[in-house]
Amino acid sequence: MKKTFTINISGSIFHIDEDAYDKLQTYLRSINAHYGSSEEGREIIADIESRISEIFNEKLSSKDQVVTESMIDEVVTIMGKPEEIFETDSEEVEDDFKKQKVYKRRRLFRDPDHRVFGGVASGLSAYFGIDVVVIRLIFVLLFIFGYGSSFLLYIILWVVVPKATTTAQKLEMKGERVNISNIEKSIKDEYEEVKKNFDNMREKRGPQVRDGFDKGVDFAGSALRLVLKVVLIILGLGLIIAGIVSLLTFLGSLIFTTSVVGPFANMHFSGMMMPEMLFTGMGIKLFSLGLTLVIGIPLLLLVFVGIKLLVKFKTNNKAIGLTALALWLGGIVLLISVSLTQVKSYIGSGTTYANTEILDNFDGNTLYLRSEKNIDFNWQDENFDFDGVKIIVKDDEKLVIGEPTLDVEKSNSGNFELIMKKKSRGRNHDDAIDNAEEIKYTWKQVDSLLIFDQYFTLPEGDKWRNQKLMITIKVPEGKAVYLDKSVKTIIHDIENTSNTWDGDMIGKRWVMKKEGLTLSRD
Amino acid sequence: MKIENTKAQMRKGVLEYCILSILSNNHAYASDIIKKLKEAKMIVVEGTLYPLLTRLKNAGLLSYRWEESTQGPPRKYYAITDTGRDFLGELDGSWQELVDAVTTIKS
Repeated sequence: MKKTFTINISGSIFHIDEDAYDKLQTYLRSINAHYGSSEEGREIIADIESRISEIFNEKLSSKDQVVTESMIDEVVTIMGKPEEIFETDSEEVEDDFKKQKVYKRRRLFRDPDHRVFGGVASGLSAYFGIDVVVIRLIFVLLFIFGYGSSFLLYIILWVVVPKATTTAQKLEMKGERVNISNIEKSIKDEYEEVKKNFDNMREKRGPQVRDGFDKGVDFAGSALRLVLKVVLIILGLGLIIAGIVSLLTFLGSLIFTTSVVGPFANMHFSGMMMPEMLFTGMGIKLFSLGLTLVIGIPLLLLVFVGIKLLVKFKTNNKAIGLTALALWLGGIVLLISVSLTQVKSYIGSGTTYANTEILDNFDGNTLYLRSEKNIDFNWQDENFDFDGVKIIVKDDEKLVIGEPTLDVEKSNSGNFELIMKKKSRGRNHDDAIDNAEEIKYTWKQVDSLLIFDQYFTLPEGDKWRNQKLMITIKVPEGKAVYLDKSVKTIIHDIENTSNTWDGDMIGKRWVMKKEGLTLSRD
Repeated sequence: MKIENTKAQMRKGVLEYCILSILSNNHAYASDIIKKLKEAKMIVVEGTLYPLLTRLKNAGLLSYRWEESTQGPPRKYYAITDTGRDFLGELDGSWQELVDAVTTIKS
């Protein structure tokens, strides 16, 4: 036994059992909910109801028959489930389209339909509303006269700017114009608003204090936005330029040892020679790679942030951030591990002692110490100095040279003597001794004149192993040395009775007295 | 990407064109239009047609009058308007373009 209801659909009366009634009600309700109460919606619902009533009429042989649940199922099969009806509903398409028109601001995409390489230029052209030929021309000119900066920029844009693949993206690509006049307009709008708010604020001053205060806040807000917008544009441009220039400089110095980039052409980034000086074999390449990652990634991010400030486009910030972080950390790990594996080259230390040489006798009491340039090198020349040992570039060849240190002490033998000590580090003691013996250095005596080379040298290919060369001149009591100005760079902490600083000792004669080296009054 | 979605999208665009084409020859009840569309396998369920008809009517492309029915309530009897004919003419043109385009691509 089942309860029945009497219903009126589209002017016809039907008997319907309880289950069927519930089902039909749910069905019509969901259709109702979708089409709503607009006139059009009501008309659609009326049409559907009238069709349902027609179907009932066809199915029922007599007026007394009851509409059952299975009949409702049949109706749903014929009319379609609510979602089937809505699926092919044309208005939704229209709605989407309208929404797009209203809300879609133009975004930067790469345009695959008009591309030469990655569609960056055609995308920029669509974004700024500038002819693509102009954009390409700018790229080419920047490439020729901007030291290839546009190439770098192009690659960065290629990587970070998404390609317009769907129709919606292609629409967005050409969405509401964003060009110079547009930016100008939006700034002008902001300005107008600021002005309006300002005027309002002045009018409303007085009785309506509170209102005035609100307007003041409004005014401050829009003024701030205007300033912020201008600042963002300047900041974006600044970041891009700074990032690109630093990147080019860095890459240039890595490849050519000196930067060839315009304004920095004469700057020295000789630090890039460091890996070559310190590491052997693969170490050099790996260290350079690590260095590139650690320095290059932040610079790339700088450019990226700059572009994002200027141009609107969608990016997977998380993915880019994580990739950058991973690469950067990778670079750090590489630097550390290369350094660690190379540390073993420095564990041992060794010192060789050349025999004490007794200098030839000469007339007079004073030994003249002079140093002569054995290598044509000025400090302005390109070099990389690492604790007294430098690597220099001479006729495109790299030389490792170092300055010896010269000390003067008292001789106990009654003769002038010269002691040369060479020091180095290495994998072990023997290796260190070998390295120390590689140090090449010459000096000569001409009567009372002792001439030192300004630099010791290392054979080509030798690495920095903290090589040191220490020369000690032993002066017997009662005799004297004259320090020529040329030894200024090599004398090192010479003890004297007046505690005179090295730099002030040159150009003077020093007598070895019982208490030590003393400035001669003669 | 679901194939069903793509099919639905394609059908959506063509459906209006089909309705106008059916009505270009003679007037028809909603049920007649449905019958033809079902024969042509353009629609699967009837429910989809009613919203379309109402919107085409509101857009001025179709008009209708009530016809008494021997069984049950009066029914809507649809006809194409002059605007609808112009619209159909344009659709005929773009349909041909589409067919040509697809044929060219596929050949």
